[in-house]
Amino acid sequence: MNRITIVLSLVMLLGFTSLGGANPGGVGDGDFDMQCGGACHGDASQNQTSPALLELSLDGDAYLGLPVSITASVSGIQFSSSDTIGLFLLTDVTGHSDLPEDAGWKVISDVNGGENNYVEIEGSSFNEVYTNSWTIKPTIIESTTFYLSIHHGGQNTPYFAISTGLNIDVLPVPENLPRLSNDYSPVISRDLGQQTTMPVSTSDVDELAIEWRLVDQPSTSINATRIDNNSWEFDLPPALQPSIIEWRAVMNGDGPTQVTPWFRIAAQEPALEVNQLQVYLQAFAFCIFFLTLVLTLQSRYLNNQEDLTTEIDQTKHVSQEENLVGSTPPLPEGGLPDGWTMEQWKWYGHEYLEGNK
Amino acid sequence: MISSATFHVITTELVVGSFAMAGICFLVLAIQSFDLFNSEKASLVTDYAGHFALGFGLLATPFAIFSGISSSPTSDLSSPLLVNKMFLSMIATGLALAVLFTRTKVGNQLWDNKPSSIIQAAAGLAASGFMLMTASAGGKFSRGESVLDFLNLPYDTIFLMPTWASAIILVAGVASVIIAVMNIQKSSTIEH
Repeated sequence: MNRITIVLSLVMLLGFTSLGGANPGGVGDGDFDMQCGGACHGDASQNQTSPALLELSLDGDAYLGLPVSITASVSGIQFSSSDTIGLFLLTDVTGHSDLPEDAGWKVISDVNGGENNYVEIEGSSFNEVYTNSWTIKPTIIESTTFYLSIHHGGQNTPYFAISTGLNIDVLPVPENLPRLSNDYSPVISRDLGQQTTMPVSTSDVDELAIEWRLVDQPSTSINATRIDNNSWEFDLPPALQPSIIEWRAVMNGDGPTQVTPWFRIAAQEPALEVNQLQVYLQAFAFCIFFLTLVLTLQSRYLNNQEDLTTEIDQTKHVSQEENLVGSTPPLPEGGLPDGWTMEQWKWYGHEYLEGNK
Repeated sequence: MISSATFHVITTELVVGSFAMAGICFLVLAIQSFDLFNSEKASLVTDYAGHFALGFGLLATPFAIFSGISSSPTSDLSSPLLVNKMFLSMIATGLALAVLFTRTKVGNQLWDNKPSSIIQAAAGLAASGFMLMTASAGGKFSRGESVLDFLNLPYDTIFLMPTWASAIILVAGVASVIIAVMNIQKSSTIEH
């Protein structure tokens, strides 16, 4: 019996290994190294080479402390509607310490409205060529080589590919260049239905115009309101359903006009703020309440049945009489007393014996 | 390794399938309890199949609950819908536990007592119903639609009691369960 249990357990464990090749449902966006510590694809040794063609390009120059867009282009693969693909923006190919942060870059926003180097996208949104961009900001003057990596599945096989490197030189900020402040980080998420006033901090900017748009829609231009020399603000309309708005700033000043990358702000359902302990306690209270309700009702009706049975059941009395009848007293030494029949002795013999004690 | 979302799909399929099966069996038992239909064979089969399916579903339920929580976007109860799922599944768990305990302790004689048989069948049906509502809420959360949409269930509203009220119900409930269990055990040892 034990052998059978062990064999069945082993077979079951072996069965799970076929599911361990990849995570078809993905793992969610996050900051992950190239092999993401086994998170995205269960075992890197099982990876097949993806036929995807990957390319990275920089949109403009990278100045120290100023945001810039890096665009990824993916083509050459077919996806079914249920496929999820993961894209990594990396600064190394060794599989560790390869996040943009490790090379002195900060990810300001990604395609899904987060600030992660790894994003997941549904395959159904893929055309022949798909582009996806990250807004990043250098924090040190140093050349960095960026790579784009892809993880995806197909026919129960995990696929992996990595692009050739794109070298980016970080330049010092020129004199009087209209620009965003070095420490400026745009808001990247807001609640549904919330009118949003976006603050913008700048340097050497005399005029600030804002262009905003829904993803893949025409843009609208508005003027930002100046708060003081380097502070501006503008309003974004509230979103009625989960969506992403892109915006960018056109900055005029003494230097050449500058346009920032498209920043993204995602509108989402406000997160529920509730005491988790309170919820779990109430859930257990509900469980116990309904358990009690049924058991109490059952015990009540089962006990009623027991009382009824006891009331109807007269066998106790019958058996007592039967016991009496069954226990015929022993005959005295001289035999049955004169004038007694055996039937009389059976019923009244006890009294005769008591009287002659 | 498989993701918690995939594991949740597997366990919920087990739970929903088992509870749906149990629900059908308890429906037949409920009909028989009201004397609308009578078949000794059907009674025997639905009694065993219903309780077995309920027990199997109950075994898979904790896995479904925990994998569901860990596969939610923030790995906690971040939406009213998830909170309601938690409540519904725990109500179903409580009902199913009561049904299985009573059946185990009292045995087949349970069906000889009309009120008890009605309570047993109704509780089994309710457990299945609450679990199917939980699954429906899951569909609403992940796909935005569910088969019970026509009922317009208020999944976005939470009935949340103060912690002290939950604690009182919990303590009183545990005490009542102990008393009820002792009563049932006592009645189950009576030789009829």
